[in-house]
Amino acid sequence: MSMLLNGVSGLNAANSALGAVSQNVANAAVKGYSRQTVYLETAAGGLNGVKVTKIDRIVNSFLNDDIWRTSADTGYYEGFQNYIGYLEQILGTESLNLNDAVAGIRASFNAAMSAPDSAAYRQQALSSAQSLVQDIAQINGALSDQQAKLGKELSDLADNSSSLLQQIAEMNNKISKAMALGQPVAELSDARENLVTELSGYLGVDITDVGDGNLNISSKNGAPLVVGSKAAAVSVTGTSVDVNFNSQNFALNEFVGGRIGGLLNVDATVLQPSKLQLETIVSSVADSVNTALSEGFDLNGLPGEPLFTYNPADVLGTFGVNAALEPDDLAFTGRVDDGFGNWIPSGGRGDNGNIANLVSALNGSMTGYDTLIGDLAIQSKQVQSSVKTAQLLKDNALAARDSVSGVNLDEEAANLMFYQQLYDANARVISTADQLFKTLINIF
Amino acid sequence: MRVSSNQYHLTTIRNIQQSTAEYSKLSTQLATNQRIQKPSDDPLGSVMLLTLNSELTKLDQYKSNMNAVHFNLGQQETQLSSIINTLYSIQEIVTTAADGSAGQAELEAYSQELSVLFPAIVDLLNAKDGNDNYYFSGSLTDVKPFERDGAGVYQYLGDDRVRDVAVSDNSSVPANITGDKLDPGVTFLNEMQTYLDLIATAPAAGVGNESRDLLGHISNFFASVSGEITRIGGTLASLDEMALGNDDIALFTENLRDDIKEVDYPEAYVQMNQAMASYESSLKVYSSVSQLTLFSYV
Repeated sequence: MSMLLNGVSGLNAANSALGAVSQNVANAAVKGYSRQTVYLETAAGGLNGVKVTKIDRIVNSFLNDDIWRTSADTGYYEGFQNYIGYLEQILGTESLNLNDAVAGIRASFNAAMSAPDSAAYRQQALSSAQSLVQDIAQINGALSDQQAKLGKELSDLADNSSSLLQQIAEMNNKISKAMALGQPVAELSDARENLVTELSGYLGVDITDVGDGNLNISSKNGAPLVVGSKAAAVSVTGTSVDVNFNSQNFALNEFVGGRIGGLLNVDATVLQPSKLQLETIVSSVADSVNTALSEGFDLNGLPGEPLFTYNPADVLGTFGVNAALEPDDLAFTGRVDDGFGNWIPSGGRGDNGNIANLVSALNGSMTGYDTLIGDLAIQSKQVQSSVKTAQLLKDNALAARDSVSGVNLDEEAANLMFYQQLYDANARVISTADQLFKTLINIF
Repeated sequence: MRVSSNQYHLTTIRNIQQSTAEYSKLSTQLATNQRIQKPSDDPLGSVMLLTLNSELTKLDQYKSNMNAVHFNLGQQETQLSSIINTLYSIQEIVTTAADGSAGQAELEAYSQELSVLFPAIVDLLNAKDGNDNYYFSGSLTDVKPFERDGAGVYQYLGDDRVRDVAVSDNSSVPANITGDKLDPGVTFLNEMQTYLDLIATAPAAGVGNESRDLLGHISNFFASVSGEITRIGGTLASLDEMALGNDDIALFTENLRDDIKEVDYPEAYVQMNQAMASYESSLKVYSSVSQLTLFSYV
């Protein structure tokens, strides 16, 4: 009897193994699929055949940790690069070069030197001031759009993260139940790992495998995200991101990693400071021109009026040319003390005494702009290479995992042949046992 | 190392993507002739470009300033040369009149001729440019510089303000001649007028002494006007020198800008071919290796 039973156990084993092979081949192209294998063991007792102990996936959890860490880095740098790249693109655009706009104003002042009373030159000065205003308006529009887009993306990311956390918590629940019942969890585990990989692109996570089938997840700054089958909710107000777990609030800062961390960081270290710096540059250009104008007299012999206007609370948004200013009101005439401590015009309509002051007010006013662009360019270049490095490390981590858990079709083909032979051999054992039995029966 | 089948496909696709990205970057460079598409492509170069453009704008402006000054001074020089020419004629007549033997009829003839020539000089001194501004009234360009007051005395009504026009970062040139330099104290005009009034009466005693006096004033006026012409000439000559230097700097700056900005065609072309080759070989390797599978032999 034992020969027949041994043959049957062998057939079963070969069948299970062929099932695993077919599952592997079928899922060869599925992202995050871990190949499964059949664990065979000699059955206890004398000549008792073979036993299938379990069918399980082949994974190395350290390799998964690597993927999650590198995904978070890639998400972080890609998020950062998206915004800094756009900003440098805008500010580096040749037609929006503020240096050119300011040089245009300086040139129009310079041109008026030979005929300060000419309406054409005065109009030219006003027009060139207007073109600086338009450049600033365009840059301001682009900057505001970017900040609005960043806020929108953050809230999308927060929504996605919340839903992922919820799904992971549900997976925890299912897996721990299935494990308690001794049911297979390979597919569920694969699915949960995919969810964690997706989540780790959004924000850096610390994973603890509790051992009972639950994965506990916390953010890089220690906020609990998933504990057992409970999930936190991620929410965004403006550009601050909060985690709410069990009605307790934890703030996520720019050190949380992942795309959320990248966005928070690019906002805090690039977008806001750049805007501030532009505001400083623009207001200092406006102030120095206005001051120089106030030290001169216009064609009507009146003290100079400001050329630029802005509201200090929103410099870029309100920067404009003084609407009340007519070409004749530009103070190109110089001033002298009348001997009684009062300023009076230094000459008539043809006096250009104040133009040199206007020109020198603009000289060197744009060094901050060059520094701003240079800093952005260098920072962007660094982040670009960080993106490449992070991508490479992530690819390596994925490759390392795949080299253990991925499906190799050649290997499966070999397994297919091997287990087919195993099946054939066991079938032969059964038919041989049958023949032996018949031989025995025919004796009688 | 064990390689999963999916991993192999992904690696190949990534290689193809990288070559395509490189290829597209280089072909954009070649198509636009712009080496720097965004500042981070060359941070140092793009910061230099930022300033080079405004430097060129400035040089361009200095050039047009020079042209404007050249034109203005040229116009003024023409007026002053006409004054000199007219002055020669006056000088000739007055010199003739200085010979006391002239009779009444001759004096009347002189008077008539001078009464045409002298206003011409006053008109030239009160000349206007195309914008209706007086050349020689300093900064009071809307004020007629030489006019007779209620008592019939010529007064200079302009001021002594000279417009300095910047022609480089640290130098400027005067762009106008003021009337007080042409006829200091308005002596010549008033002496001439007095003489005209006298000769119009054709005094029987002749105008010998007065003529000799006047000749002195004429030669003073002559000296001051021709002095200003010489000054204009000097300024124009120095402008020409500066224009040459300005052009040199502009050319140099432009070359520098193009060097930074533009594509090195041979280099970019070779790089593009390399990217193309690596792209093609990725495709070939992929298509041949992907046909290899044990399943074909089972």
